[in-house]
Amino acid sequence: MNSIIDVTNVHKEYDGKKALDDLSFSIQPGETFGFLGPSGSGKTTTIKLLTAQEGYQSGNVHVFGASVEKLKHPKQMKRIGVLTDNTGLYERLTVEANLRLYCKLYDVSYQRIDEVLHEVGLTGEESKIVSKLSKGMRQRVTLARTILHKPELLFLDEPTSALDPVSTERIHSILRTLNEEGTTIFLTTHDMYEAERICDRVAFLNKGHIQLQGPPRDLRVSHSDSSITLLLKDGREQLVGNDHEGAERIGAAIASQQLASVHSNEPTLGDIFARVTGKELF
Amino acid sequence: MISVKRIQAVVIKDYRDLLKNAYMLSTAVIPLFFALLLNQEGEVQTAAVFMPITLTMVIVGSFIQAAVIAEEKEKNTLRGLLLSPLNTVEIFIGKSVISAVASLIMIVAVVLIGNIPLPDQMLLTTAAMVISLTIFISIGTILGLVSRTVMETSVIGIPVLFIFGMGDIFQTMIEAEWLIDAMGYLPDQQIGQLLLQLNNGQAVGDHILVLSIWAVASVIVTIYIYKKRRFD
Repeated sequence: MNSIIDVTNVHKEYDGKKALDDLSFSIQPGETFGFLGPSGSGKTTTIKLLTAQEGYQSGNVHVFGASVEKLKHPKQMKRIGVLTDNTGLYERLTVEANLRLYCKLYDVSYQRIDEVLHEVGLTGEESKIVSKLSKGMRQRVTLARTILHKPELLFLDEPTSALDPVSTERIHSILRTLNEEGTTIFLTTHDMYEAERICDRVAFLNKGHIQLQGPPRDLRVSHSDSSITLLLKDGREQLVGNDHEGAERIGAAIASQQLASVHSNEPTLGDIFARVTGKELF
Repeated sequence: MISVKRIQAVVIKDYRDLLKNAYMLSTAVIPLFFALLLNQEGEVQTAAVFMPITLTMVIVGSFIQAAVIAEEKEKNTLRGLLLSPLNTVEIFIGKSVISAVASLIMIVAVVLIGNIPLPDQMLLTTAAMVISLTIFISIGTILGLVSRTVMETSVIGIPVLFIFGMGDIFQTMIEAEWLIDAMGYLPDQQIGQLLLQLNNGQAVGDHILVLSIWAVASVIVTIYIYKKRRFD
């Protein structure tokens, strides 16, 4: 299958300082791909490159099978949606007026406004002035604006950054639905929980270079030490191996009716990131 | 290809936004006070009588345009437009229409309130106004692009107001001939001279030429700065 995004050996510098270093990855249609990294690791720079906001010194960036420069054409722009933490709304205008502008720009019927507000859970809020909305609601309006034209490819730069858990969960749910409907999603985050929940594959970005990539589950399994923790009814914990001896000890705990629960000791993505890069995600 | 529909969408949005923007509305009416203060009575003797017109172009054309652009940058809404199907020309035209229309309305109001005698050659006068507005709106766009906030446009804009809007007043304070000569090539001086000469039935080709050079140069500089600063 042809990749929807193909990045090969990209180097980018700002005033002689490396921002992206030999960056290579590809994304297949229908995938949700997560870029994980701490602040300053190159996540936002990557989105800027992929959306033709910035150039690069060497390498190749292809989106929809063509050079990223082609994205500047209005027809190609209609195929993508970009949500960054700094794509603002017109605060003096209503939610509807904000969306109407983008309906015109993308040549979309005004009827779509009702649909998209329903999708983001803001039905009935269309006449509200944006400046009166909470941060979570604003982010949902921005997301509504981003998906108004049903883009094939969504770029999301830390879409839930600084949002409350309820708003975050709501946005995750919307993104899962969009992905199920066929939208390819490129997401940057430093929230490992977010990455685990919604990404098919993740890449760990550190100092502009991808250090590891793969499906979250595969990464956890491959970095697991195979140990299992038994929690006993008296509150004690027992660490057993994933082998014959471990199985016997689990069997014994069951037989003695002492076993409360069994936990695999797979690391979180945050643990793996710290192990691979020597850094925390925050 | 340029889409009128997309330009129209930006203009309608800007119009709605302007109606709710107290800063811009209050800025837009400032030239009326100048028109009242500098009310003309008697015959036209110097180009200075047209100063309220150039002040209107600076205050409405440049300052409002600067505020419109700077606010789009400050609130990060310009990025949304740049990542939409709008192309560069559509953004420029769309973001300039409100300032241009507001300037024209205010120029008419200033002319009426200030009893400013316009020449009979309306075609040439209109052409000169359009060329001048192109210059001042471009200067406003540049101010907006280089400013980080709307407040900053007021600070950066003050020298522009003095240089491009009040040249007549400054010329009376300057003794150096070469500086007076150089200031004569500023767009406000050129438009003033052009209107005066039209009133006196004299040729104005050289002034149209200088204004056109200013217009082309300011558009080129605007595009250059836009390419550099649009995503900042």
